[in-house]
Amino acid sequence: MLSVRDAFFNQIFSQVSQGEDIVIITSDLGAPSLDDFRKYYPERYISVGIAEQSLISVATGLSLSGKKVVAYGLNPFPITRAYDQIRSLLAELNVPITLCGLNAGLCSAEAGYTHMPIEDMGMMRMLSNVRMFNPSDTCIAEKLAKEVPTCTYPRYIRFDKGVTETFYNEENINLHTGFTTYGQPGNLCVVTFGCFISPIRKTISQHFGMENKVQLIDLFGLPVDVEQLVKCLQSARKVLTIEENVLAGGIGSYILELLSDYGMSKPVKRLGLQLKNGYYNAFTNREYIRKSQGFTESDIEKVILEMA
Amino acid sequence: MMKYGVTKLKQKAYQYRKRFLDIFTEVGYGHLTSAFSWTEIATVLYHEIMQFPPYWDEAGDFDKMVISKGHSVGMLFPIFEDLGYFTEKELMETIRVGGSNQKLRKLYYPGFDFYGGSLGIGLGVAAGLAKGAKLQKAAWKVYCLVGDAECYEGSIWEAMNFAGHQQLDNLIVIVDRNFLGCSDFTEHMLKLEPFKEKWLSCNWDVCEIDGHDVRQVYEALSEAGKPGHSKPQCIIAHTKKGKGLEYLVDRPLMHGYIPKGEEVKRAYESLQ
Repeated sequence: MLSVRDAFFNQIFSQVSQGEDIVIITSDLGAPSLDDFRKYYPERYISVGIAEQSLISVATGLSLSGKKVVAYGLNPFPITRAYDQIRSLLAELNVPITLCGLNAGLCSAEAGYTHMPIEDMGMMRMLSNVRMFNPSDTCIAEKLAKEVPTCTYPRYIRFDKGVTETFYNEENINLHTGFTTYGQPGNLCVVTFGCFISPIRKTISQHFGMENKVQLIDLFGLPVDVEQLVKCLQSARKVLTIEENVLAGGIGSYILELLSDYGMSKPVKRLGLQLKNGYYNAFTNREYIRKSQGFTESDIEKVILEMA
Repeated sequence: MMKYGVTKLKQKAYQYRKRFLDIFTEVGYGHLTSAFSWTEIATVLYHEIMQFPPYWDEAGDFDKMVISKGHSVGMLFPIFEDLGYFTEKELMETIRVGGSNQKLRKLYYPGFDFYGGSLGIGLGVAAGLAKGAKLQKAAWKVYCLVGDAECYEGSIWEAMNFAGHQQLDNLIVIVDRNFLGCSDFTEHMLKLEPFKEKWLSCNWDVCEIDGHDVRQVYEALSEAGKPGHSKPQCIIAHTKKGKGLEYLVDRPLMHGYIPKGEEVKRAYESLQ
């Protein structure tokens, strides 16, 4: 099965083979799906070394020279190390670079807290102009790749290496809208993204079918079409948000802001990281952290059944 | 071969410093000392060296300018006014409080592509532009003004290393080596020397000049712009921060200085 990253880069290779003028710039990060690109288009594969500030600055120069640029680095470093460059060049100058970060949330937790992008969504949410995507299936990843040559704004894509399924059709994905729904509106609206989508779809399918009880919102792109999202939130009695981020600044915060801005009052439960005792410094992994924070797949299923 | 000649360029530099005083004493804010530090360099670049048309052309096949030490960008207002990019009225509308400098930011003017603000960012952007030109086999060159104290930023060294490795001989950096940061002299604060050797070690060609001598500036930029160097070009221009107003020269803590009140008259009378 292809990961969302490999689906994205395979599509980029396909487009370059068809004549698109795309350049990939990386801070010393490869991928099996980049091997052919490096072999056949070596002049379009540029490495700046492990230098994320240079990654963003040089990518900007390439873009200003007329190139279509995909910048690729190991998360969270392109964001946390090069945030000032992102703020000045992507957000302020609105340079249409597609910045791809390998690893989202806890999917590389074995490497320690340094390799956990768990604040980056909040950081990027604060910036103007930049749109952020969390592909929850390979179809979204491919669609994001297809738009590289025509995209007119900066994008930040988070690749979760655990996401390998395909359940969307290209026609069902509207990148501008930024979300899809699954299930029928009713008691509970579950808002999440990325690796949580597939198991929650199964939970809904297994327990509720098409009953008007639980609706899942796959919030794969931020900002979203707010009016449409608000309608979904209005139609639910309760809201559950799930994310592998620290809760401050994440999508739970985003939903609370929307509820406040649109005068809605309803119970909201937020699942995510609460680092009351600091970062996870001991040897750890994704499953361990999720268990200790109370949002394993079975935990989530239990919460959905209780809230629905 | 110079188009204007040394005397005319010197006159232009004086004219631009004077006009800078007009503009920024009116605004009441600006970075005079940094702007005066590279006045001769800017004058030579825009009148003798850079190739660009007098109007915006989407094709964009002309030389690029990146001002990494963005606080020096104010010197471009008098130069662009002189080049006919805007009238005096349009200029004053642009710089008044509540006015708009969006054209400057939106890459509207030929021969001007990016200015920093957050120091250390511009050299990487310039290197990316130069790499883009190489990929397109375009003939245009990229000029980049870097401050010496800006070189404390690690991102400058990342970009230096990248440009050297990529052999971007279409990238020409002018380091405004005035030996002053905001609060102190660079060699008191944190030594940058041996400065030239650091650029050489990153695989750049380097020369050192007097950055206020228009002939030396012209000759160094002309030589750097010749094809076939196979290395990026660094011109370390020894300058004085605040040059032209001698009472400001070699004085730390004058980074954001703009004459106000009685000082305005003194500035005009002292201007050289």
